Amino acid sequence: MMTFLKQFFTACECQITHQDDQSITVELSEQMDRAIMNRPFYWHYKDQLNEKGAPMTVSFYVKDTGQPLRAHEEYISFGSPRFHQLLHYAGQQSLFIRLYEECPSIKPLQLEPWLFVHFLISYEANGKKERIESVALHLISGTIQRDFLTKISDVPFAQTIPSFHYVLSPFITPISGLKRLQQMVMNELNQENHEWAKEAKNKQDKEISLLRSFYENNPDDSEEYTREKEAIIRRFEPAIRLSVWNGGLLYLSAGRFQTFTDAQSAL
Amino acid sequence: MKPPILIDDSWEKQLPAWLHSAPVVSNWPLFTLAAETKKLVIPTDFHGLLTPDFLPSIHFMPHQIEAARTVMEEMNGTAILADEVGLGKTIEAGLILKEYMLRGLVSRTLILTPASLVNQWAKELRDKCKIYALVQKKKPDWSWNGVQIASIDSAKQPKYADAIANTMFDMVIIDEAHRLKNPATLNYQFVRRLMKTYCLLLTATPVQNNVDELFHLVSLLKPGHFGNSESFNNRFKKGKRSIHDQDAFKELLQKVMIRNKRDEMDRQPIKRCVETIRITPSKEEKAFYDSLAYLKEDVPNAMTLLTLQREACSSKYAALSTIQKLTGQKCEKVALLAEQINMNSKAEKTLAIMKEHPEKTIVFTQYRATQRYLEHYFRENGLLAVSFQGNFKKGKKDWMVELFKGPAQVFIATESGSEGLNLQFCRRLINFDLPWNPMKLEQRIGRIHRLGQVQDVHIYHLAYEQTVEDRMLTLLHEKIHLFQSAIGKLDDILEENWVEEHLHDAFHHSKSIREWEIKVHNLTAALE
Repeated sequence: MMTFLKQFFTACECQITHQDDQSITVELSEQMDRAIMNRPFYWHYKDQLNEKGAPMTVSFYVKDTGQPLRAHEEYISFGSPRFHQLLHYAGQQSLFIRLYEECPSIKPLQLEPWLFVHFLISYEANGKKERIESVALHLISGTIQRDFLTKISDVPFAQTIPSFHYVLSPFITPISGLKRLQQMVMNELNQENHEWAKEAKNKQDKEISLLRSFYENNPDDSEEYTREKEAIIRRFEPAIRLSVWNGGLLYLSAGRFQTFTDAQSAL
Repeated sequence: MKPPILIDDSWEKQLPAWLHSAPVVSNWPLFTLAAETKKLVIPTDFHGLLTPDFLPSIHFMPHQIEAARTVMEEMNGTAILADEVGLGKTIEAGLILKEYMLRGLVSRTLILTPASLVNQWAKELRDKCKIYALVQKKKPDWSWNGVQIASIDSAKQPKYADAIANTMFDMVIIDEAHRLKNPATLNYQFVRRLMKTYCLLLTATPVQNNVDELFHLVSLLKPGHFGNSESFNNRFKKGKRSIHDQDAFKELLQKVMIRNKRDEMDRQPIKRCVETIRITPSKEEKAFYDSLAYLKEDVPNAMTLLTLQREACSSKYAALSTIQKLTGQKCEKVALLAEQINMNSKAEKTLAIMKEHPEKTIVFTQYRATQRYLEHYFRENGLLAVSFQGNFKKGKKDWMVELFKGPAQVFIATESGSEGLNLQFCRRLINFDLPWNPMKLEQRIGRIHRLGQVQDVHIYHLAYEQTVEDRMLTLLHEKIHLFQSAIGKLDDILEENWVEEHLHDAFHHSKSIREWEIKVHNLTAALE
């Protein structure tokens, strides 16, 4: 949790003023204060007066120290709503990125476009499990790479095209690229063993037949019957949901691409 | 069977705009962090619980975790949580709710509780499960897409009922669900109409008076689980208070109900010592009680006479409050007899118990008049007593409990509003009079015999000899027997060494109260 908080506030350009094993104190940026502190009236007031507001300083405790909390202090864990708010914020702020690899080179360097996406795959029935697929498509050759985030975790990036670098334009548009990646994931999903869905469907059938037996002799209660039946369907109906958690365009040097393919052929 | 794959295209739709717009600042560390952290917190398996790991500072009891797991995996989020009083049903429900929320299956939730427990629920959910619920008060907003708590009595009012019935809730939780045992009531019909995906019913006492209650409760949760009422009657019902084919019945019940028991929980179970003290009335008390029978023609019905007799067994003040509403010369005579009584034998006994064990004690009575009398009586005898009633405002209730924790030695409570009270710092309870319903007794005892109690608890029942209270003891026994055959063993509420069979016979074959009393009288005489 501590690692998350540290990285999160650093990435969001909030000043960390104090930190120990149990707590972290952060001077929020104005943007962060507006986003998470839930005080729209204060900001509205300041905006109207055309004044600069004073963002709050907040302390987050990762362990329960047993002491009562003072103002602007709170506990945070993976189960607390605050954490999920921060994670949601991180997701929203990084929905789409566009970055260029930066090499310390004086020779002209060619960068190639990649569409990089984190798919969130949810299996839903009478329970739910999820996984994240980190995949990327080379927008020239159409090569697909899996587990992409780990592979490029140490690449240095720049916001704009660095000097002496030039960019190749894609043959495949990002939109049709996304379709390709989606299709690949869907093909794989269709190949999977769906025992879980079968089980859920069986349970659903059983429950519906029990329900039918209950209302058999009371045709007047059809409204009630429909309502209960729909509830059973909602509880058990199996489905897989596919969405994009975040993604973007990355321009990587041709050398990177080479190492990916080498690594693949070596396998 | 191939499940359909549903594509959420919201990202795809925004993509063209992102591609064409001027370069926005791309935050690579945030991008990586968002992806990696999301991976950590999504449920990677259908089974198991996320919550205990995600709320490390909260210590859930093993039985609560096990119950939550069973409700998720085997009962698919529709269950009756029927733990014995004081084992933390609220936290169990909160844990289940939290788990569904963390898995992203539930957001809009309605929690219905008795009015007195609304704030307590909000507090426990906040402290124990980090769920911040909206308490719906004077101006409720039913469109809130989150967890909301309302009292069932305000929610079912006609002005709100339709709005609520037209809202789709992911989960509905109903506390003290034994109030839904009767399908003819407004409560039941209101809950019947709710649209919900998951549903939890909480009650420590799923059966109170007869088997049908259980049928109705289960049918509310899962219609058809026990068949329809006809097949249920044929298959399971044997008279009003007993059950055919107990094994099959229990097996079915266990599929929708979880019941943890105290003695299974504790490593060193807290013992419950129950003592029924039969008190010989004084001459004046006896004369007064017997004289009530002469009012037979003056009272509107037999029920009133019975009520009068029960009140007289509590205190003369309780009975007098009813007698004063009647008219007639006989009433005045009876009232005169009441005035002759200058000592309440039960109060004396209570005082004796407290002198013998000088520690904090709870006294339960059903009557306000008795409560007032007792408060006065204890004060006269140098004991600081506090009275507790259900209609007190929340602040006053809390204050009364604080007083009892502090200086006061006696806590005199009436039935109402005692649900949800935590008084485990006290271990002695005296039932000054008896309710008809054994589950009310269980609720009373649950105030002190609950999680957190570290000593054995002592319960005393006071009953006058040869009065209507004898009959009530019998009836209580019969009902407890039903509960045990339906739900399982109940902790000792009454002593076991009662001559059940004989009393049962006497009760069922007597044509009048009088006849019954004579029979009981003869029986006790024979025994002695």
